[in-house]
Amino acid sequence: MQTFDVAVIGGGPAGMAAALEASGSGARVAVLDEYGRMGGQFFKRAAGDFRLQPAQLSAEHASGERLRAQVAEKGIEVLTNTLVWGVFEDRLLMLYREGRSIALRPRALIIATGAYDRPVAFPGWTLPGVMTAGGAQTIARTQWVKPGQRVVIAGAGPFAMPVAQQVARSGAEIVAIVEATRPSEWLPHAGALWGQWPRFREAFNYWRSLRGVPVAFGHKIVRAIGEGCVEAAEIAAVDKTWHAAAGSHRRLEADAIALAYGFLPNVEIAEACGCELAWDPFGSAWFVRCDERMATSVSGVFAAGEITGIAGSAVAMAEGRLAGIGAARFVGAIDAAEAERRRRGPAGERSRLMRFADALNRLFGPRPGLWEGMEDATTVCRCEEVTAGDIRSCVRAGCASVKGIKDWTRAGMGPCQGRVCRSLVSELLSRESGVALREVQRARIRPPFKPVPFDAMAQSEAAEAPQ
Amino acid sequence: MRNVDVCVVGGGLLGTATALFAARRGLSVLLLEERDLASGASGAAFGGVSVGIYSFSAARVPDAYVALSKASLALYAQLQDELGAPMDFARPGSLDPFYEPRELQSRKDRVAGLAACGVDCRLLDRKEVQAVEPAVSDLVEGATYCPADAHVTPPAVTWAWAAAAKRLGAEILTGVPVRRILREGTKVVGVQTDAGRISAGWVVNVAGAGAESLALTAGVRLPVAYSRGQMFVTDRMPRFLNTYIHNIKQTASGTVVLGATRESGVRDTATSVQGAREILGWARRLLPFLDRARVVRSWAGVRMVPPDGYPIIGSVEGLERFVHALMHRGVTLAPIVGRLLVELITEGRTALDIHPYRMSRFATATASDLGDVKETFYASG
Amino acid sequence: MPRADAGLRTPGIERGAAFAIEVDGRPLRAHAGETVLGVLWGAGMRSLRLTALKGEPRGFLCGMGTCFDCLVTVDDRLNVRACLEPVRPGMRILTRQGHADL
Repeated sequence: MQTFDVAVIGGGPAGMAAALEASGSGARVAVLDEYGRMGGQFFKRAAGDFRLQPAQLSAEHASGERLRAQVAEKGIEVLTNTLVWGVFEDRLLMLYREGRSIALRPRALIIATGAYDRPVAFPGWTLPGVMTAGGAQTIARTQWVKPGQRVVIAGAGPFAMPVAQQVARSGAEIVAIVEATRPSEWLPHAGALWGQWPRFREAFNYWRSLRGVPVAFGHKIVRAIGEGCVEAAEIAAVDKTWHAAAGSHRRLEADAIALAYGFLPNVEIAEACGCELAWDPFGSAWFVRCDERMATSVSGVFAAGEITGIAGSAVAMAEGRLAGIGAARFVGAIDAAEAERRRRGPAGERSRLMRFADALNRLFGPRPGLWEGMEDATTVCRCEEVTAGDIRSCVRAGCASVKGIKDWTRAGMGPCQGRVCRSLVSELLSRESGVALREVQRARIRPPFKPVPFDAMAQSEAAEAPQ
Repeated sequence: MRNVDVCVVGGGLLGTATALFAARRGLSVLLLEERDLASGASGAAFGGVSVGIYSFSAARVPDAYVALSKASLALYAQLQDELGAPMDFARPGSLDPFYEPRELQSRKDRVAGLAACGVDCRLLDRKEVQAVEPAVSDLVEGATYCPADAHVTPPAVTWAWAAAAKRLGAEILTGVPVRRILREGTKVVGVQTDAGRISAGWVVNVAGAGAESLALTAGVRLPVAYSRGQMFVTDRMPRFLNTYIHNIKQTASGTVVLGATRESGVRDTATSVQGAREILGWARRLLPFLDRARVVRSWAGVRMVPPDGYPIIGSVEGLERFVHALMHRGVTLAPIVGRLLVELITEGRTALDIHPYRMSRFATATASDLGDVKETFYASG
Repeated sequence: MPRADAGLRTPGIERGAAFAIEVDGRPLRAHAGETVLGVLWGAGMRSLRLTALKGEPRGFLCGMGTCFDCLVTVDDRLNVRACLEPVRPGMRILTRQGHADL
């Protein structure tokens, strides 16, 4: 069993920043990432086999490469293609890597597992061609494949813009950006948004590159139409709660629909460690509760990045540094005074940026009308093909928990372990039973967090006792 | 104050079975469950409904206990017909393998005993096992094979019985913990919840993991040991199992459910690396085809095990209007126990003899001196 | 029926070394550095599998290994996420067979 002072789970912006900070403080650090290359979602890039021109590289490319290089030259152990499939007592991590299930027990743990695009269900959403905005960005950027010939991007908030730019670069036509909010709604938040000149410049650059792309403000996706794959998108005007206005439905000819309705944090590893979660009513999700040093409720476990709150890469990196400092302090690589000294920079940066992030969450977080697309016949659990109607019947028959619904309908029993359907099931349960969303009993993701080959798990390395 | 004929405490298989039979008898029934239905052992159990499989090291299983299991299996089939599909009731037969030649004699005795009770259970050698179940490796020495054994999905059964009970007028409330059993002298008169008192003609304690502490509120010391069982499930696989094995089954959707550890005294529902090594390691030696699978999830449940391994069913001496039941083969026995408890309530006696299962057989045992219950069982695989 | 597409690969991109893979028994061109999903989607294949219960076609939803929609069989390995699997020369892929619905 390998030993490290600090293990960082997740090699995205937060994870790499954390690893660099902890390693720079003298600790022995390992970064674990389930993908083949560090960078997470924000710094994802095409494989080196592609020989791309500078104009074909994303705005984040250079920073991503720089961070990866820094991590490599610092002697940080980088374990890619490594799945953390379970977390057990005393920070025991079980990893699946290179065909084997091995144990790792670091002295301190930094969890930086990021987020995934929020699933939104509506009639036709399971048709090939309906994808998340992140998925559209991924296939365009890393594969140089168009998500479709004619793409609709429907969502709320600024993420649609870099996605639209990447999708346009891949050669697809952007039929429309369908934005749920109206610019008039942004005014009350102008104060918070204004302080972020770099963000505005970024937005302006995207805007210019997307000139000519139709934008439908105050609209949302209501239906995907097609036989066997997407052939058209139906959108409708929405009110301030994102409920569709009758008679406002319009059909757009498209073969791909990218959904950009926000993100959900990957908190299962933190939860398995026993970390307390906090409910964010604007983001409508459970995040890991931390103090300003990014310490969670569990001693020796720190969290950074999108799992503490959806706030973007700059905040993620500031939090990563804070977590790295915290972990280094915890294992005694630096003393308290040095830790405080190092914290000042990233702590200041984080609080400067948080106002903007909070404003974005308030403005663009999901609103009740987003869920009216779950008609009775709409599939909610994609893995097990359970519809909203199945779930409503179950709740009316007395199911009062997500687990009860899972037991009755199989929703959440498939390989994604409810990552896609859980928030949707919770929403249905909340509406049918009248229980507030934050009171809905959660069903935990159990190990293995993602599927592990049978023979490997059966022959898992036995862990040594903690020191 | 609420007033019912029967207040059932516990929303698992035992509770919903009891509520169903009571409602069928026309009694007014209130079932109280502190979390959600099937959130305890009934939500975690493997689901074997078996007349042929018993985890006792003694070869001969008492005839009465076999009869109880037989009656319960028959009742499952009957309920399946009456209530329809939602129980996931399948009857592919069961295999209970053994791995050492020295186990052969006790298996022969077991089969002879079962045969004497009219159970179709055969002793197969390795070749015969592999004829029934080609996926089984040479690890087995032989197996007992009961072609009429069944399995269910316990939470689905629980919900189905609850729905049926409600259709007959039973009231089922979840999210309602029961704090105490209320007595007036030797007579039980109801229960206390956070929302107030329930007055009941009878109280039934089938609260599973909560039964011991609930019993104490009535001055009853339930002798029970706990044993954790870890379970695992794979992704969907092509169909390769014809029967079910003690304890491996392939569900209707193609996933393979595997279990279970026997961890004496462990009461939490976490799963462990050691549990994975034990169960998955054994299973892949028995069924090499499993190496093609991926493990998708694990979970655990806690068994309630009376000290001699046999159920506790019935009333408590010195206490009126109160019945209880506690056992670790709750999946197999739930229907018959539910019916027996209702017979006790309505007629004061039962069609099958439950004297062997009286709690007072443990007169000298209290909750604190149970000894190591593990001795009574042989490890599964 | 899924539209027979001219393909969705972006033209004018210098990709890695080209080689052949086999998809449903037919050869398909792939490049080093691409994923199975990239190759299939790029070739205009929108439906990677049919669901076990209702036989509905699925493509991909998240593209990052979280949703388990894009399952294909690769070299006899069942339930492989196409979005994460790098292509290799001679790889044999079967679509329509996620969740082992053989």
